[in-house]
Amino acid sequence: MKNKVFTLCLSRRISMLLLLTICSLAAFAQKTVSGTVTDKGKEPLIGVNVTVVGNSGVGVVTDYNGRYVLNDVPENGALKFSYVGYETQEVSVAGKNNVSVVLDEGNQEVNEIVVVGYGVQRKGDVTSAISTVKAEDFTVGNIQDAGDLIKGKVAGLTIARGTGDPNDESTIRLRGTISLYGSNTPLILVDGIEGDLTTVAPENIESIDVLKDASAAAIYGTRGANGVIIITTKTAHRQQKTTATYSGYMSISSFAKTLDFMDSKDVRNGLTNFSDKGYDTDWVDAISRTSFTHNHNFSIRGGNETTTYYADFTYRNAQGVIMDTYSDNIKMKAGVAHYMFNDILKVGFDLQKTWHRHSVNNASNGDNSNVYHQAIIRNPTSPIKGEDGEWDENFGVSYYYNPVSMLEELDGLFKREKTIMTGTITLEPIKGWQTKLMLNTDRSNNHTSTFYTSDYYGCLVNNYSGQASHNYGYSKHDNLELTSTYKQIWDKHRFEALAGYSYQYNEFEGFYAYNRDFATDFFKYNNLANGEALKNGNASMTSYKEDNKLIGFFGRVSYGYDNKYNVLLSIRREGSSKFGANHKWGSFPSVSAGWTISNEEFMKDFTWLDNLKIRAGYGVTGIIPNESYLSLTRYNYGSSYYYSDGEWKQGLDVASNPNPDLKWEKTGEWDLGLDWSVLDGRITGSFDWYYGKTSGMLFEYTVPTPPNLYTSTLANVGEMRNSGIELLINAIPVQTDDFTWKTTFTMSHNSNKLLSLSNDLYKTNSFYNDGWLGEPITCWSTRMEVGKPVDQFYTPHAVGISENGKFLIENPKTGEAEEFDGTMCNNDDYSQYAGHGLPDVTLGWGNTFNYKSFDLSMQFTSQLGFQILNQNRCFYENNAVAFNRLRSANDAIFSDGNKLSALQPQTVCDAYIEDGDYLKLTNLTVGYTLPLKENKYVKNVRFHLSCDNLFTITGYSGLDPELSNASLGFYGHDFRDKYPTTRSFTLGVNLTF
Amino acid sequence: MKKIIFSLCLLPLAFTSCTDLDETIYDTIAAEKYEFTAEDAASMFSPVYSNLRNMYWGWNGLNDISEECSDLWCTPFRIGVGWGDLYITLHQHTYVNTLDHVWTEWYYGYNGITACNQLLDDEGVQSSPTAVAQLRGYRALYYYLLFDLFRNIPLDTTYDHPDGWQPSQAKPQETWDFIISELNDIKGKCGADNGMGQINDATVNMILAKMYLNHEAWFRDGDKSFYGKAIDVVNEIIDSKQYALSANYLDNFKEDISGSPEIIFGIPFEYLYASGNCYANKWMNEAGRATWGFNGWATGGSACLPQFLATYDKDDMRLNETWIWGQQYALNGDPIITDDGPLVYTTTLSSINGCYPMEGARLVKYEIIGSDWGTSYDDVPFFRYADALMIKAECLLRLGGYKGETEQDAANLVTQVRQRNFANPAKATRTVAQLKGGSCYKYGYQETDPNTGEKFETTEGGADIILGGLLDDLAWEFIGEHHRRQDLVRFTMTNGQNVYNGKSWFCKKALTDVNDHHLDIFPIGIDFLDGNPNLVQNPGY
Repeated sequence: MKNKVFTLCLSRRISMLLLLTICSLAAFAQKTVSGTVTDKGKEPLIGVNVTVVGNSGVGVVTDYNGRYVLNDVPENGALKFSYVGYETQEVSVAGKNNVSVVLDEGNQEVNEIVVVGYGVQRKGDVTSAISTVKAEDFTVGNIQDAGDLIKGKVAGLTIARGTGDPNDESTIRLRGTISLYGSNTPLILVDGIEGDLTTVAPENIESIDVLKDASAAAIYGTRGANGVIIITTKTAHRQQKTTATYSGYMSISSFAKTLDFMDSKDVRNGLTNFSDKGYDTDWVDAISRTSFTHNHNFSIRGGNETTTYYADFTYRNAQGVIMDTYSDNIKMKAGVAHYMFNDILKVGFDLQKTWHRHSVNNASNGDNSNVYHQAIIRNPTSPIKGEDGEWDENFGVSYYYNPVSMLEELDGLFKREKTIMTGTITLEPIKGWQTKLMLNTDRSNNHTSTFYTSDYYGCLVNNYSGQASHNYGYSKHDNLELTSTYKQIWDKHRFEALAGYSYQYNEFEGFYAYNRDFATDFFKYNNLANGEALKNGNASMTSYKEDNKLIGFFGRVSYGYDNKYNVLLSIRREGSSKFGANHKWGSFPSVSAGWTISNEEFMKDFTWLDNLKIRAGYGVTGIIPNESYLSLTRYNYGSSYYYSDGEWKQGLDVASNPNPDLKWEKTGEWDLGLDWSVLDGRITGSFDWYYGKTSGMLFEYTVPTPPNLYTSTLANVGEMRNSGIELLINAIPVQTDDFTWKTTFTMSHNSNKLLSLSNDLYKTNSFYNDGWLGEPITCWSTRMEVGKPVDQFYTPHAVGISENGKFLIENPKTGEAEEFDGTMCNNDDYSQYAGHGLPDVTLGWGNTFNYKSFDLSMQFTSQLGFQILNQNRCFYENNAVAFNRLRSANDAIFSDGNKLSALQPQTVCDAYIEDGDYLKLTNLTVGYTLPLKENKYVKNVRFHLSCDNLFTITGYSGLDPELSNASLGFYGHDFRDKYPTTRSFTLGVNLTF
Repeated sequence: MKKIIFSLCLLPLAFTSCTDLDETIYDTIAAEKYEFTAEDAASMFSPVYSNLRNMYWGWNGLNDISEECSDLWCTPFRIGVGWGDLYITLHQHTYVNTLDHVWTEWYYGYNGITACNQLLDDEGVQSSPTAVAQLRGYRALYYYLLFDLFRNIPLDTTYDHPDGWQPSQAKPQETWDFIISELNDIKGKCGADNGMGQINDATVNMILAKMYLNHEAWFRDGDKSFYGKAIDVVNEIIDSKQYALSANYLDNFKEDISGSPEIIFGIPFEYLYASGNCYANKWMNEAGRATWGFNGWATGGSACLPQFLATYDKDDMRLNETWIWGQQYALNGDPIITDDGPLVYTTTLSSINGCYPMEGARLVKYEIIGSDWGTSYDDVPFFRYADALMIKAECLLRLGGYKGETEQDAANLVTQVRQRNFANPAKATRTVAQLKGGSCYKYGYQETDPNTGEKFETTEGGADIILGGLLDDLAWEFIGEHHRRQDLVRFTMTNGQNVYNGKSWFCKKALTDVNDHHLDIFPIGIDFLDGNPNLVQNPGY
């Protein structure tokens, strides 16, 4: 019986197709209708679907003048005009041959198209927490990566650039820390393919959609637990007149703030341990500059009825403020798509090529070789070079090196060449049923060449005549994705289904070679074999290779009734090679529903209310560990040697315990949301509450040896909770013909709690310490404890300074103050909780003012309710150091009026933990659009002047309270060796031809 | 091209490989995916040896834990440089379960034991009696060291365990019995001379001797019979006539000591293959490296305690063979001058909480070689013949004679060991009275404020130490050879307290409670407690 029904359906479908074909062939009682489709601003709309009502087989799209000509229209029929983002219109053609229509955008809040996993949805039908930022709302200025475009514009998405390194990528976090071992960075998809914030040039981005809650992200299964950021690039539309655009800008940058260290006068006044060497050197000046950045983007795009094409070219050269640091990028992306067989088949190719280059230097090193670090600690009375013309060095003082020589005597280059190729075939045999095959490969070659001359401090100290290395890395990501979607709307029902398969293969390999003691510095890294170290066994060489696979099957069903009730179910079954034999596969379901109350009959009277929808959803997502082979018993050859029969032989050592039960970390998250729009869209917004729990959280457990071969095992034991709220408000407070003011406010709050780290088999103490501060402090500064958030500082509590000039530390047991001694900082008996490093509240406030041809935008960001460990104070607000020190080392920081003496070693205590609250004007831009008369040559000319990081209002005494917070265990740490953040001024122009 | 890629990629779809998640491993070996050969199995012996190297000279290794807590030297906070912290903890005996040293010893010790257990479980290994004896010997050595440091330790002697099995601590008597019975089982089966790093028959006797020698200090049951047992096993070594004192004291601390007749058990280290001893880095000032043309890192942390330096006889050649102070000279004989003046190490130390970089004499007992060598590849003289002689001397003194040998024979043995160190033979002689008398170490708290020069001092002296003279001799002979903590715990004072707890030195204060012995052993590291809920922390921590 079933078979019969199927045949029936099929035959009906075939006969329908036949009928349609016949219809279009045989012209009876039919006519030709033409016209123009425009928007309310009378701009022609390109690519509007024009079909005959009741016979969607007859249709065309409008050309780049918004015109259409449609044959075979029934004499008394009607035409349907539909276009994404606009309200569909039906117009009768009875007695008319010319039908021009004006399409209404309607309620943006409802009709806007948002990108969801593997497809798009009308915002009104969306049942989960998704935020969209379109290109016109992006921040302009000195934009380093895609993160800068939307900073402060998406509630709950924390984007931070904690350093001024021109090669540093923004850190992004969504809804808290969910994993201790896996990544906490959202999945970033660029046109459906895994990438990062720098994959495409910011100018090429059309929109950025953020899938915030698990019910939306679950379709991405194991990669979706931190949320998904979907970057859609600009391509081309059919019937698009060829347009070319140029946008370019130039920027100058300098350090936003520098630390107040002693100068040569202070040294002469005996405020340091330095002796007066008779010179006057501003070391920070000596290693920095006002840097220059220029960025150019040229694009061409267009299309006719069957073929579209685009090409984007971007060149960016960004200098860093520290000498010799830069990022040089050439990016080109081009694609062509062709529609065949009456649009049944679409084939597209996209190619993207990137060349990236930057210098190898010590500017972002996290140790004593950091350039900035050496500049601030160096004796300001020392010369850069001595009378003999040699670099001034004093190796008698430990960890103390000339920062200028470090820059000059290190010569290195990092080069990356990246190619992404994508082919897609889309088959749409029936309107509404689309099957798409995407094949993609993303391959990168990285090559680092490094040369330290004989005069580099490391060579001088070790008596090497030059050190050189080459480091090659290759990565390959192959993707295959097959999806099939079916959409249908009948009467009041909307139905959509998706089924898909995805296959991802990742491969990494590399090779490294090092040699030293060259005959001459002349060769640099270009004659590696010349070094003597190869002959005496001190050269080194390594290579590696690893791969992994990720396979997923997924499906989604979405149903809507009468624009009031929407429900969505999705599931992904995903497997990764990284896990134990018993647990390679996991299932990630989600369910969500929305109720658009404003469309109910009983709400009809509330005319001021355009839209009110409540949403609820639950989804399960997974977290994948970063490395492969984690479940296997691995052995290393040659990591140790042993002496046997008069010979040294390679040993075979265990490198990991097996864990065949190793499996996915899973996060289950609830989301309740509310979307609203009032007063004709003048005020819109959304509110979300979420509660997520990670279980089976991976953690490296110390296990007893024996019986285990290795002393730690990676196991799924822990649990963590995150909950919070997110609020977005968009408003247009003023709107007149000449002047508009648009404002966007975002707010988010997250609270985190570590619920468990133990089970019967794997036990740990209920806490562990982290936030290690290196030599000479060598103390922990943070603690993760079950029952508390993961961002807690844990240090001795200083209550004053003794007459001996040492900290007075409170003994928590007795409440008495005890004079500091060196054993306190790693002794739990003296440490106490001392604030937390992640903000309670993150705020964004964007404003755009338009007056005639002028526009002004301001993007504020703010973080409140958190503390910062000022590492520079730990190290240099101290009078025991042999190095230069902060002027504040001379301040009495407690009411007892005592100052720190040389008896107080550098240490960590809560006296160095400060409130971090800040409000920052992240970007200020003034733009002017030339009021051009229509001409053949130029369509649009716009100039803009912007300033990034103009000012920060904060009580924090360090460099910049906006921290990357990229590493767990170091939340709230303002790192000693960070590349200081910068302020830049940018002048830019956009031209459209 | 496109078509080819397309069809290639569709291929996996058509077959089961579209769900195939098997892993391919390339640059490491995984037991699940590799057939071990006989050669591979031989290489698995490596961790048996390498873990002892790491236990001894890993960062914060066996010699550090045995001496930084002692009355010989320390690593103070260096004003302007750093150090201090956990080394202060060790010096002041304020041990905590996060102390890195307790981690190092336990971690490498048990890794060595696991490697032995794994190999002893292998049928191929079982068929070789020499391999079995060697592995059982090594395992007993690891257990002896862990027993001395932690006492209440898990005793695991097999490899095969049910899933989820976690070890519990054995009673000290059980562990003692196991070590003794293992050593007795392999007695005479290891071979007379197997070369560096291999346990031989004399090594087995040395471990037994150490076990017997310290029995009273560990169990405090008043049973003196173990001193006799110690003499018996040491006599076997002496009677074999296989070993002799080397002509020069320093012959035992060279980069290569395999030629010294005194070495009973030595751990081999080798340039490019196995590095360890970083005392050149840890003790020397950066500018001071010029004395040897040494290029490795050097931060000049550790320093000799002035109270200990003062105990040496000025004519004892070991004083200058072990320590340097005063103006330092480069290889070419020029005095070393730094930016801040001549490089002069003082013999004074201000405070454990604050010393200037040049304070304190530096250890040069281990050979320092130029270039990037330093002390890193110096072999370890784990058991020396001199040690065997001194054990016998001590036991004879403790027993007042044994099997016809007298206390004077004991004094003769000590004199014999000292002779190579004195130009004037008369000065080498030690009498029974001297050895049984008090120590010449001027015990007492001695701290100076490095800024004001203000002194905080107490005087305790060493007169009340039983066999105090012998204790001094042990220090002069075995400084830098993981001896001192064990010796200080074993030697007692007239009030019954051991020297380790009962005396103050530099910035370490004596324990006031005579019956408090909890510091005799270290706390178990927090990581290991966390990893195994069966473990119980040692009492008092």
